[in-house]
Amino acid sequence: MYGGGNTFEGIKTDSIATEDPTKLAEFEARIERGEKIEPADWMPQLYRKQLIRMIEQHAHSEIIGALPEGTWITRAPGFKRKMSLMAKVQDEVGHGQLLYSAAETLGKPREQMIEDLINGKSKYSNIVNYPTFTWADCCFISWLVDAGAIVNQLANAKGSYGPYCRALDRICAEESFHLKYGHHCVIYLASGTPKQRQMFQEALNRWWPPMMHFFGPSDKISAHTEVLMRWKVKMGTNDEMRNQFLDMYVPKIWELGFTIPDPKLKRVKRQVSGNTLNLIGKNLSA
Amino acid sequence: MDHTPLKELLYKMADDQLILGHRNSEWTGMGPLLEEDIAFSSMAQDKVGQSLALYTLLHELGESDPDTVAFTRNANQFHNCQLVELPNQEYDFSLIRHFLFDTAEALRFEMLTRSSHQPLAQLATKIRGELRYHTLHANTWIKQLGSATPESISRLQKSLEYALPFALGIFETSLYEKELIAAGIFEGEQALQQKWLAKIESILSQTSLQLPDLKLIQPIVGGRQGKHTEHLQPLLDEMSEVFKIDPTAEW
Amino acid sequence: MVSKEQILIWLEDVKDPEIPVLSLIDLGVITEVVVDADQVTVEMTPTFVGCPAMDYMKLEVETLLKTKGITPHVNISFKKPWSSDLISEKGKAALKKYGLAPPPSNKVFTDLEILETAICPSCDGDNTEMKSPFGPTLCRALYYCHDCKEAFEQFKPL
Ligand SMILES: [Fe+2]
Ligand SMILES: [Fe+2]
Ligand SMILES: [Zn+2]
Repeated sequence: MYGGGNTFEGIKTDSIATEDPTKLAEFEARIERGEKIEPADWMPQLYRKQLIRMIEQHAHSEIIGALPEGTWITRAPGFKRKMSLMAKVQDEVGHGQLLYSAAETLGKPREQMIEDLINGKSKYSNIVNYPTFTWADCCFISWLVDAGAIVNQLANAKGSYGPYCRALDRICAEESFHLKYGHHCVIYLASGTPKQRQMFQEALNRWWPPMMHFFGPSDKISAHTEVLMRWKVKMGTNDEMRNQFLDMYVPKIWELGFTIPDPKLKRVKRQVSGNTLNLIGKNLSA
Repeated sequence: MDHTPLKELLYKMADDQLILGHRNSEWTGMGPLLEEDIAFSSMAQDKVGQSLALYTLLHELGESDPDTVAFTRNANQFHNCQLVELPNQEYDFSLIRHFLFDTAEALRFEMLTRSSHQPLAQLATKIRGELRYHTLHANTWIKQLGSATPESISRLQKSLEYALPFALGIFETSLYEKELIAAGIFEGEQALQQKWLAKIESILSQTSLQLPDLKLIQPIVGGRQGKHTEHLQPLLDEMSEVFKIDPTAEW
Repeated sequence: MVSKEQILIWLEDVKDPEIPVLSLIDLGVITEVVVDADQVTVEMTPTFVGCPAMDYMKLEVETLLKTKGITPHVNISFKKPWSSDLISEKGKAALKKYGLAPPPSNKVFTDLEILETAICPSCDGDNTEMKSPFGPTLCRALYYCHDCKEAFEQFKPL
């Protein structure tokens, strides 16, 4: 699970001036043509550094993200849920494993990454620090935090660095299974007893603000990332990702009869290929 | 035909897998190494899945459905050996337990591929293949850490001595040994224990670990009859925690 | 009633939920399709006993056949247990293209030492090393290719 929002605060682009201009031009042309950059290929220092940082943060988020859900494995109600949850949480740790391997191809050993995680030098998604008080919290994560992660990961899978993209392709295939599982869990709560509905509504109220922060600060206040977009390291702005998530999932949450604790979310009718769909307009940064 | 002996066999196997599966799952996210984290999670999934398959066989023999059986009984109705219910403690103990238990389990299912109860023989054929990865994992680490540093060796040695009396409880004699053997359902706990001993001796002999004289060890039994340590009931309470919030609900 | 062949063609569209390039037929978890006068029966078996996706796979088979106007009986059993040898040649090629090393024949899997190397799906070399018999999912092990300097997963022999 990874939102990717706070990865690129205040990057320094000075080092680009010291790169070999011919190589840099060739590198940029390759990316422009949609080619993938492989571990042994030439790449600018800044590209390497930012990718390590991003993939490493992503990996940490998967590992730490296993904990809030992992504590529910023993408590998961019944074999069906339990076996899916076990597999899901293990997948997340497995994602960490794949991502550390992808980051290692850029020259930073895994031990170093883990050390930086433990001593606080490297960051990870803040959402994984929130506790899960009830089974419904765990269901919120499986469905919606994973959904947010998919939005981000699908975008990143179209990036320029080969090993990261290949890892993400496989990760996304698994995430879509997580999403299905999480959605089923929530549907059962939604169509269940009053107690179950209440449990999920409370979880939604708790998790909505961190869910919005998951995608990072608003574009207005986040750092300039033009070069990283050109190099296909960052594949979309924080607000684009957040809005994509809202467009896709707010209607689904409403459909289940839950209230989202954000009075600024509005239902708007939008005409999409002949069908009238309920979509949303939002104004989060105001 | 009276299925009591068969059911008793299935119950103890299913309960072993269910409880150790839960203990293994407690390593998810906590493993000392990413790979160990994943290994214990994988084995947890295998074991819980295998317990479900065994409870399903019991259901086919007229017992309640798997969820009811697994998540609503109290400790005194469980037939697992006490070894599997002990808390994980440090990694050295978890590893030793995994080695001692899974060696026995792999051999048990190997024997059961020849069971006269066809559904059990089919399932055992399947599970035997999966358990190869469990014993591969256990043997690799026991060989490696059992010969590595003075600390790893002394930790494993201590855990081995602590776990052995419980491990001998795996083979607690069933009330129905004779019937099971006569009906060709299972070759019996004694036969299993002999194979197990040969196997663990052969692995331990490749390490600096010493296997104590088993004749001097008093096995800790009772698990098969519903006698458990104080550690089982809290785990069972945890397993049914969500169900109890609203017993009428479907989750 | 439709033919068994037709049903097998339709079922090609049901993929492994975690490996979208691999159909359930090629994976080998659909072990039998029987067409009687008025009933279609599909026999399935899980890859691993603890496979969490079995329910979803069963549901997808039922849903797909319903769109063709058939309400099948789908049975899950261990009568014909799954083995990695049941993955078709087409399935193995798809796995490799997807970046997962296909499993070696289960028949060579008598001695576990054999698992120490695998063929790298990207360079076809065997300068590889097993990192862990337990990979990101139950059915995969983790390897490292010293030539590509990249980790890869292998679908485990079972
Ligand atoms: Fe993930
Ligand atoms: Fe996920
Ligand atoms: Zn290679």
